[in-house]
Amino acid sequence: MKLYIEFEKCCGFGECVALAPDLFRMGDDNRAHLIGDGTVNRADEERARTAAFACPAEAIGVDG
Amino acid sequence: MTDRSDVLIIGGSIAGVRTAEGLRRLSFEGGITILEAGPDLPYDRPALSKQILTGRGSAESVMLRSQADLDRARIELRRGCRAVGLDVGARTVRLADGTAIEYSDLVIATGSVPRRLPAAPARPGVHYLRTLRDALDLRDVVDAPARVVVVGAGFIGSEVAAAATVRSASVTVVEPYAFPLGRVLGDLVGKRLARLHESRGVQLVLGRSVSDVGDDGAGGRRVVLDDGTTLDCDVVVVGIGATPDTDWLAESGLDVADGVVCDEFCRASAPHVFAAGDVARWPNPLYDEPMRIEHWTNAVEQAGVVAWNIARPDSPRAYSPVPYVWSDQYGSRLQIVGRPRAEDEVRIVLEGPAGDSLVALYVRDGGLAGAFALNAPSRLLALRRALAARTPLDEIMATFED
Repeated sequence: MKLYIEFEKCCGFGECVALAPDLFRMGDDNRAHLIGDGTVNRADEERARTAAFACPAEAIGVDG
Repeated sequence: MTDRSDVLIIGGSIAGVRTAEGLRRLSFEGGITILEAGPDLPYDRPALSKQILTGRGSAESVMLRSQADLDRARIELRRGCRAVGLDVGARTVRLADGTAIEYSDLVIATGSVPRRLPAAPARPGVHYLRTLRDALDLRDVVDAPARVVVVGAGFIGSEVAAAATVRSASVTVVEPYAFPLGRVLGDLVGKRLARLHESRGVQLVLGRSVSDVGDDGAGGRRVVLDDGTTLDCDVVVVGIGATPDTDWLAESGLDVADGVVCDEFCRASAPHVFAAGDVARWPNPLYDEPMRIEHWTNAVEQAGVVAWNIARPDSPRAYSPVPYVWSDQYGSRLQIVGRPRAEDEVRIVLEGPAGDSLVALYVRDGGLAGAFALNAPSRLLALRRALAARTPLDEIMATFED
């Protein structure tokens, strides 16, 4: 499974960073960024989906 | 035979879809059916006046969910299916085709419809913007050398004007208030937003309203203002606000007053009926006023609370968000948090030298009521947190002292 961020939509709420600080970080541009290339281990998939779903801007997508 | 669904959701836009998905994330196992009056799969509505009109997005790129996504979540979306009546006693919704569907829990997420200008019904050359089809139609006619008159300088009108300039159209905006977004943000900020429009060659006609939209005698349209001024153009776009889509509830007995009236748990006035998104009016515990919010983030967040309150009726959650809305215009990002009002004391606490960035605080009863930011997202987010935490005003002001 792989995460991606649509930067145009991100409003920097930080919900994803709060829920999965090992997968997301807040950038100096005040938008969320992926840590690494977005690939998620199977064990972390559900948590990653929860973080993606929590985004009020629907800026986080999940492939696979 | 009457059809039935454990949860029946009326409206297949973001509030409806997020409610359905939220239920599944809470391990709700019952049947979920969404009735959508329009023909399309769920799409990204904020993108209509942004990406679609500027030509940067397509009908495909603004789709939010595929049929496969919905199937995977076991959400049945019925498109082209319009609800026309509700019987809260029998717990059934009546459809336009004469059939009915029973529910255990009902979610009203029918959204809002554009307010119409009586002098300007939709017709060729006169546009309203609500649906994907509206946006695609409008996109096809705002190219240069089109002359575009936008009626209303609120969010939609301002974004349409900005998008049309990207397409090199020549744009005039007519607004009855003294400044763009002036009704919400007041003159001090409105004046700066006027400059933003004018710096891109948009002509603003402020303090004027439209009394008629006729033909110019040469195949175009003629907009007549209340002072007799005429504006000849190729395209008129009307963006003067929206009203909640509640006509279908007129005989339901449900309490409706500029939206479906709900309690703080988003429950309407009949058992097992909820509302989410543009259509819901509810008392936000963070504020002393009933609210109805026509913005994306609210629809997403309210849907989450409605899903929780359906799945966990014994431990309902109150819905107490800090309202948030953003707008993209002329390459700038505008953001508003809280409940700013034109009559608040407005303090400009940050202003970029070229007018390209700005932060304004809206002070009411000695506290922060809301804030506006132009190209200052980090400041705005800090203010959103401060509003949620009810941080004292002097502490907030201190963060702006260098």
